[in-house]
Amino acid sequence: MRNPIFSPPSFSELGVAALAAVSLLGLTAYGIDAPTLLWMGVASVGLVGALLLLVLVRGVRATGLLGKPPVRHMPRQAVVQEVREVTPYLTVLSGQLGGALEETHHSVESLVKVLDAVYKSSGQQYENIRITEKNSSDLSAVFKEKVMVDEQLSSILEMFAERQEANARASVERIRRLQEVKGLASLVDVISNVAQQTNFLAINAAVEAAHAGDRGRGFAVLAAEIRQLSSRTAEAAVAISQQIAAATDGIDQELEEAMVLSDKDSATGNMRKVLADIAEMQERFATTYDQMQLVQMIQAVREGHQSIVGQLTDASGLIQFHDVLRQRVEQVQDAMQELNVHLQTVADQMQDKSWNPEETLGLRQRLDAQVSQYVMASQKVLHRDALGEVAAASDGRPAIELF
Amino acid sequence: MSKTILIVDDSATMTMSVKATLEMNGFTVRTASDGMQALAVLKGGLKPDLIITDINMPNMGGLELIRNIKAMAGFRFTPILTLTTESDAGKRDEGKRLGATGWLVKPVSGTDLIKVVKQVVPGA
Repeated sequence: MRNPIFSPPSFSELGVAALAAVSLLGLTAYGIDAPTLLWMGVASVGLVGALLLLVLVRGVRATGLLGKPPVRHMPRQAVVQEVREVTPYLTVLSGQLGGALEETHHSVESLVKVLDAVYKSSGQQYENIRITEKNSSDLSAVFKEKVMVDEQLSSILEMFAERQEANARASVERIRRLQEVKGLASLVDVISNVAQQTNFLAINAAVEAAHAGDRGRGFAVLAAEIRQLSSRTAEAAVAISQQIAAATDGIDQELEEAMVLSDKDSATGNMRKVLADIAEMQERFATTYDQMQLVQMIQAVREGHQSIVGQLTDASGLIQFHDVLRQRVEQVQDAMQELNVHLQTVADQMQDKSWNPEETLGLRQRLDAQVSQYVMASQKVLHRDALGEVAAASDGRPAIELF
Repeated sequence: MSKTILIVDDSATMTMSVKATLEMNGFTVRTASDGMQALAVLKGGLKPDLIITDINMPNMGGLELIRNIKAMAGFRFTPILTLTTESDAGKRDEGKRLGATGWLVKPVSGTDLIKVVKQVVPGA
């Protein structure tokens, strides 16, 4: 599309026009007398010469040797046309700004969701730890109760073990004493021998009594009684011997077994080993529980969670920048709209011969009026700074003021 | 029991931001996009422990909202904070005269916001 801005005719246009003029002169040459033809020839030569001179001058001007090219002014209609093009131009710019705002809006939405997810994740972690703390506390209580029961059981077992050992020792003592009964067997032998010798003496006495006749008759009765007594004594000795044998039969075996039972490495010994294992297990648990440092760990997690919440709180607060940005961009969009209105008004007035400049609001007036549209102190400061003006003094009121 | 806060702002990102800040610190949050909607929520039975409102909003702005809330039965002592980009001293004074508890100029850091909220909400 051709630029509406005015430009002078080109060399080719001038050349075509000159040749057309010369041809026209040639065509009109038929039936013309010689003097006239002479003048026409002179005119053609002059026309071609003028064309060559014009080409020469423009060529030199193009080199800049003769100074600046002549100032050319845009025709009024072309200016109006250009101003009309400002409307779509500013509309596109405003749309771009709006699109950027929209994109940052979506980003902020996503950011808030991420922050919320981090917060919930941290909270869930803290909750899990808190539950672990409670379970651990419950487990500890159960274990302490178990330890208490175990200690009572240990006491009972200890008592039982001591009694068992005492019983075993008493059994050994009792069997040992019983074993001493076996020593009576030798005394029984003595009694048997005495009974046998008494029997022999009684027999001899009876023989001697028989030799003594009537005088020895009483002695014979006595000898018979003694013999009978020795016989009963012998029988009693046999009976005693049998009773002792019956009483002490297997006593060595019992003693051996009792000795085994009283041994510390036997049943009660094993019981004591179990008790020692229980005590060791309790000690190990207590040590492990201390080493786990659950309370300290949970405290650290709690503090970490609170720190995360603090940082997320600040991060979520920073998102307010988007609202500040949105308001500033929307203010710029409004100003662009006003600029467009102003330019279109100017374009309208360029086509209106009855235009009165006094009735038209100037761009500078519109710019000054922008100040009243600002809500932020920073907007006012920036406005003054851009124009090189002295900004109004701050009212000194804090950003956070409680009444 | 957590305290309830009503946020009134026409900016969706603003309500998202403040809501997240408050909820992360244990508060329950309700939102409204302008003064009219906020009044409807209050008339619907919500009794917030604090109201945080923007000033420049469509339909009904923050100053008019404060005026209406203070005229409602049962809300006379409800604290109201403004959270706004508005820096005009006249509007700030008007807010104070109408009964606002404080004036906060955006952006306010999350930590500062929570500090102020805890300061003006009894038992928070």
